[in-house]
Amino acid sequence: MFLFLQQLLNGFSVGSMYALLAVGFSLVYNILGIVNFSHGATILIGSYVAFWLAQYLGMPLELALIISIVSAGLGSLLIERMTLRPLRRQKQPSIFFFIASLTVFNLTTAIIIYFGKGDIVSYPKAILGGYFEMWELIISQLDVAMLAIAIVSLSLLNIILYKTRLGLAIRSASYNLKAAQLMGINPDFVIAGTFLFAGLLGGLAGALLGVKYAVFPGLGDMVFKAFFCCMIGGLGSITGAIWGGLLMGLLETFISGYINSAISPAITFGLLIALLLVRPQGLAGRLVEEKI
Amino acid sequence: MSFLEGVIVQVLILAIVTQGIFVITGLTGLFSLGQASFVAAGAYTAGVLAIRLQWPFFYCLLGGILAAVLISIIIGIPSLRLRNVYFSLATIAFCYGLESILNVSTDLFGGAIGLIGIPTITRWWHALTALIIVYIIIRFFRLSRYGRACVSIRTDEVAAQSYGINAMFIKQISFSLSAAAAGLAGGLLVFYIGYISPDMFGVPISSEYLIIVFFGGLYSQGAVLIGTTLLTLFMELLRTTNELRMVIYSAVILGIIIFQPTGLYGIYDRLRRKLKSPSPIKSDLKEGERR
Repeated sequence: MFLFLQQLLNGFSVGSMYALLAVGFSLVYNILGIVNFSHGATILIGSYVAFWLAQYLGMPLELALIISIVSAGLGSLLIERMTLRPLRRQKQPSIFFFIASLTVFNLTTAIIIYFGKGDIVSYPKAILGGYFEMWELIISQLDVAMLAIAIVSLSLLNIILYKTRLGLAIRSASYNLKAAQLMGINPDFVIAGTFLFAGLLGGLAGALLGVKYAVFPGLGDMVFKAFFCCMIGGLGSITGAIWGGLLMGLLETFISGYINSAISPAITFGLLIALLLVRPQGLAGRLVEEKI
Repeated sequence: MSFLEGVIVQVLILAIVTQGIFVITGLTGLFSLGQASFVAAGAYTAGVLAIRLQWPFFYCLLGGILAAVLISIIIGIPSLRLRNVYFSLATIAFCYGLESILNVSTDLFGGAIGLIGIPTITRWWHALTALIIVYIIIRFFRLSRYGRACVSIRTDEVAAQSYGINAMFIKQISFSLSAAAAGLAGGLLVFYIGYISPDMFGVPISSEYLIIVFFGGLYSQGAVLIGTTLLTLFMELLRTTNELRMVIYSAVILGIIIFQPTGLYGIYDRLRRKLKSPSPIKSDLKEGERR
């Protein structure tokens, strides 16, 4: 029973990170219908900038983390400006952006490896290293904080999406970009805004993952899992992406805890693919008849 | 085996993989992010057959191809029915799944350490022969009715089906063909380097393969071959720059994809058009003149 509760807690903590990533992924997918692997670059920026600032400039880690998250957002804007916008101007099909985003991701990883030498490092000081003890459960303060930060930031995003004019513009663009354009919404602005939010979420997840585990170039590969979470949640649904992230986190920790951590990806992905076969629309998605 | 031969063998093996990707992505328009895992499947099968059963080289390669094709059928039957994004998703799942299975099965596949002590048999003529055979097979496939059916599916799947093309069957054939090429490459690879471990394959490697194909020019078989060769040679030229080489390499590819998304073939095509027929409207008619 205690093992169960402990795993549940860990699962929620990991799942909330996946949820952050999947939501950022899903935002971009909703509007442009493109799979944006450059999201992985923002994870790397979010974790590495904080490390460099704290390690080499001696900045307090909390401040460094905030700067790092902001720079991930700006990095995402830059990526949009440098890759997506030229391709959109040329009216190229979205598959080219798919490849361009993969290349941006590879390029960022290469730059990070060039400067960081590809080592696995950790932040110079631990944040919230303490534990609560409740009954016999050991609850890491960091896990609780991560869950709280994830909930707060996703609620903030929700407020932005549903209460502000920019949010309205983003939602209308994700409903139909062309029609939104006809209604006087500047598509460049909306797309840039979406990339900014996606980048901030990716950077946040990267920074938190860096605090919890370590900082290494492989962190960016999480983007492939985020893609997966986004799909099992249901394409085009932000809530779905959150559920998808949590489900993936829970499955992973439970299978690691009860069976074997090395085999857990095989079982997790197998179960999730099986879920998609039963429910192709995902957890929260709706089946839409495709127009021919 | 000299350094030069090593480079040549690497180029040839990579070219076999990218020829396979040309079939599934260039012809049929599906994005497989699990191509590296098919290479792994071929390599591991060939390696296990060679070490544990002492099969001869040629049969090991055949076994590798067969394993890759079998897996492609298992993955393809459920995922090819869904929309194309789900196919990419299933291949990602396959990549992670296979990696973890290889990591766990210490008895058969050597776990995280992998297989070591495989005889290094592959020489450049083996790889070259394999590439020529693969190129010819894929060329005939491309020109056959199946290849044309693939292109029609890429352009519009529903329209293709309304002309009586069995889309699932055609997609499965092209997927299996690309997996077979990857499996063959894997077999050659394992007999070239002599060891193999699960971390040599994965989604990032698959994405690199895809990027190489786009660099050459997605829709032309010859361009894929030339692009692969040029990129690998370029990578070797950068060898002296150590860590910086991945940065330069990625930046060059990114530049090509942004400015000329159809890759090297697109540049060639544009030049050829400019040289051959200098735009009839400009040459025949003066400005403002009506035809």
